[in-house]
Amino acid sequence: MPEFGKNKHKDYSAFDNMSTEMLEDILRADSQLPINEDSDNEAILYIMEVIAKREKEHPTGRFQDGHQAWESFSENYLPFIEDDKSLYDFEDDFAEEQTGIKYLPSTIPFQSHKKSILSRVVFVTAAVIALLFASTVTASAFGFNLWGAVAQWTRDTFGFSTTASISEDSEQKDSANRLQNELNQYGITTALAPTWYPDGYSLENIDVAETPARTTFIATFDNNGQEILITIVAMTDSPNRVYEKDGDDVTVYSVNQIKHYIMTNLDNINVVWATENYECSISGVLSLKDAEKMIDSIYERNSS
Amino acid sequence: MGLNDNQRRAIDELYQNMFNPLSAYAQSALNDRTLAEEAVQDTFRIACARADKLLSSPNPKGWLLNALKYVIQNMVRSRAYLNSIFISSLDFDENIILEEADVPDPDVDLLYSDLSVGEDYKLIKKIALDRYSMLEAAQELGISIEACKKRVQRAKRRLKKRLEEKN
Repeated sequence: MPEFGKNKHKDYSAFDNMSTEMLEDILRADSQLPINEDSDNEAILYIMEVIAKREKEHPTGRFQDGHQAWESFSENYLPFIEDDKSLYDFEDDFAEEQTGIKYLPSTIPFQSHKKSILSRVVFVTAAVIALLFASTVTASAFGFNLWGAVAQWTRDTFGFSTTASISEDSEQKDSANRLQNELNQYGITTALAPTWYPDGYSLENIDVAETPARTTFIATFDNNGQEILITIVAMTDSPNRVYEKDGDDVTVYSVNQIKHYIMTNLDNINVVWATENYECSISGVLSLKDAEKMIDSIYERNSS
Repeated sequence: MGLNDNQRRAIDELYQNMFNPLSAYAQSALNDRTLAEEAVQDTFRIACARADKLLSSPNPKGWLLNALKYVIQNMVRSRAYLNSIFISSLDFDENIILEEADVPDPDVDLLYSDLSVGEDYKLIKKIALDRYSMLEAAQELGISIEACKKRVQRAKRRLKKRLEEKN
């Protein structure tokens, strides 16, 4: 595990199990955010270090040798530190007024926004990827390129359309129902959202990302910094999924004739299931018992 | 404005630790290894210029990442802008669809051959059309990146003036 983030309250270990290409997609998506847009720099730094660590362990030559780079820096760039502007920042530039370029400000604060669009992207991506690749459920066994679908999804992050902020005082039960209510507003009446959550968790926000191919709902439930993420992806077309497990650390929990695959990754539990044209997941630090109780709660409304 | 020993040591350590992670970010953003490397080097150059700010930051790595983001954004947009004004300044036949790769070097050179600052325009062409990094262009001309930046700046001013006169 990279050094950065070790002492942080968030667990970024899911990134350790993603492919380098996937991580690069996340970095690319982050780089395309407007400069003042919220970005989870802690997560981004972690990802950067995962890639660098892999390169160190299995060199591909993608990075210049550090010593050579330092020599070039000392020879070519270090003598030029009187100018604290970017090489491409031309003081008399008229580009800014015409193109909206914002040049390097006098101060560069370290920004760490706890809740951001990107954090939604990376954590949900992490959840989905972790359950695919950190577990023994193989991607190819899904019967379609979910890996590719996820990668494509990260490119669609600009489609985030609405965010419903929920006050911290909301009652837990009301919080739990909010997600299903949000789904209902999009015409989704299938029971997909849990109505029970472990004590202390309340809904923090719901992000909805719409693209032509899918609508993604991401609900974050928070309990003093611990998060449970519920992801529901409504696909335009129903892919022909084949789920398969080939290991012992995947538990299949069937409720309402729907198979829910429960996987553990360190302290995290990831649950994934599919029904109709919906892909759903639950991710968080949970006990197996609580995970099963959350799953049960999805369907209780139907049986009551 | 130079670095004291402590600043040099601290930045050296940051460089060793962060060159590759920052390169990973820059390569993902720019999809060009040479330009990515320049973005990271430029970030550390700025870090040296603002060493007091960097080293007093509660999170120097985060500071560097934010600096890199600004550098990348400046680089992308400024290069696109250079490209745009350079292309606009070319008096091509309206029916010619201009593609970067299709710009015939001799035509461009001929177009500016009547200018006393032909070398500067060649420099702009290398940056804007040929995707040279500032360092590559500087090395080819046998000048420093500081001089190269000033030349690009000057050439751009002249291009602007030329465009205004044309309009």
